[in-house]
Amino acid sequence: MKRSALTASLIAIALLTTVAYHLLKPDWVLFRKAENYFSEMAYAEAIPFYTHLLKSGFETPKLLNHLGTSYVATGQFAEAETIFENILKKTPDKPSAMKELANIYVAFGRFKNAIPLYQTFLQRHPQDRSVRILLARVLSWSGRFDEAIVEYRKALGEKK
Amino acid sequence: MKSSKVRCLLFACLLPAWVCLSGTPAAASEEATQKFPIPPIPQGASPPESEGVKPDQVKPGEDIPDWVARWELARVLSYVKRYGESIVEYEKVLKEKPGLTEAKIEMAKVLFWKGDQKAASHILEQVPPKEITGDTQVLMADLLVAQKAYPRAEPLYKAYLEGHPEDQAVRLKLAEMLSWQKKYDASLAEFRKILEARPDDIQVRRRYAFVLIWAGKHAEAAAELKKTLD
Repeated sequence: MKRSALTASLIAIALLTTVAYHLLKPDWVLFRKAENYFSEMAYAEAIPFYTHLLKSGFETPKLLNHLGTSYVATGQFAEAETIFENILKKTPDKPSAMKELANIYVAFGRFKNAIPLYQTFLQRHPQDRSVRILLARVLSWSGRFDEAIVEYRKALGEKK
Repeated sequence: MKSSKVRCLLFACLLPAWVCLSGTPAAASEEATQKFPIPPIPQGASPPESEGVKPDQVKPGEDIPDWVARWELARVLSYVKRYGESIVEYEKVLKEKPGLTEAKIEMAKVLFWKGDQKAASHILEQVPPKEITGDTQVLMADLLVAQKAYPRAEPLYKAYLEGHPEDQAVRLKLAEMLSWQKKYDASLAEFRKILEARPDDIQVRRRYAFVLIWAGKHAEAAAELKKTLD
């Protein structure tokens, strides 16, 4: 008798805690839903949750980053650009945002904007050969062939 | 008894935590961010001579292999006319990827620009004929002309012109080559097509006049030469 009462009360506590969490922290619940979609790469489904949260004033670096990424994944580059520019305004040293924003600039053919971002990223991550090759490509597309050659050589582990 | 109590307690404590944390595997979301595709390069955003990325060869989010980077380096070196260095890089690429026909063709072009027609010809001979299309047909024909192998060059120019009838520069090459073979009527026919498209091209008209002279059509040649003086 005592045992079943204890079990029932524990279950009740658990359920009440859950309900209380949903009532007291609705933003976090929405954020978890959005994160669920994001982790399943269901970016289009994640976006409305993220934007709703942003409008309600719930803003975390992770949310911004994932919203930006979701925008890129769904081809909404203009929106993604705004998000990543916003991230970099707040945290200018965020390498992942630098890379994403540079990639977006490249998608728009704004190579001049992309180049300094890739270069700054590489100052912090000189071993990232993929980004170095991207920089080399963008330099090449900008007609800056000599600089592109230097970057290709570095990416290939050659100093020349 | 004791163990079932512990199980119940654990269940009660973990239930809210599970509800809150389910679906936020940090590693999974991080992986999604890292593997996120690089946006494709818009059409026409790059200068015409620098083709850059080969999107079909590098899947989004995949690491760019060394041979792709080296191939791009070989191309860029050719843009700045560092042909010797470019060829070295093409050789390295082809050592790793001997079946890469496109790289072979490009290397042949670089060899041609460098003035090494023999090596360019040798490379192109390794390319399956069905792969020799478009500009490569012209390159191959040019190389054959340089070796005075006119009968082999002729079908290549003609095949190219079938697909690019507006390319008067290549038509001029064919017209001149035909005249060197003393195929005057065929040559003059090509010259007429060029002049129809470019009636004010004095240089072409003069060449046309010379072929008329070689064909023994002196009166017509004189008339054409007069036109170039008006």
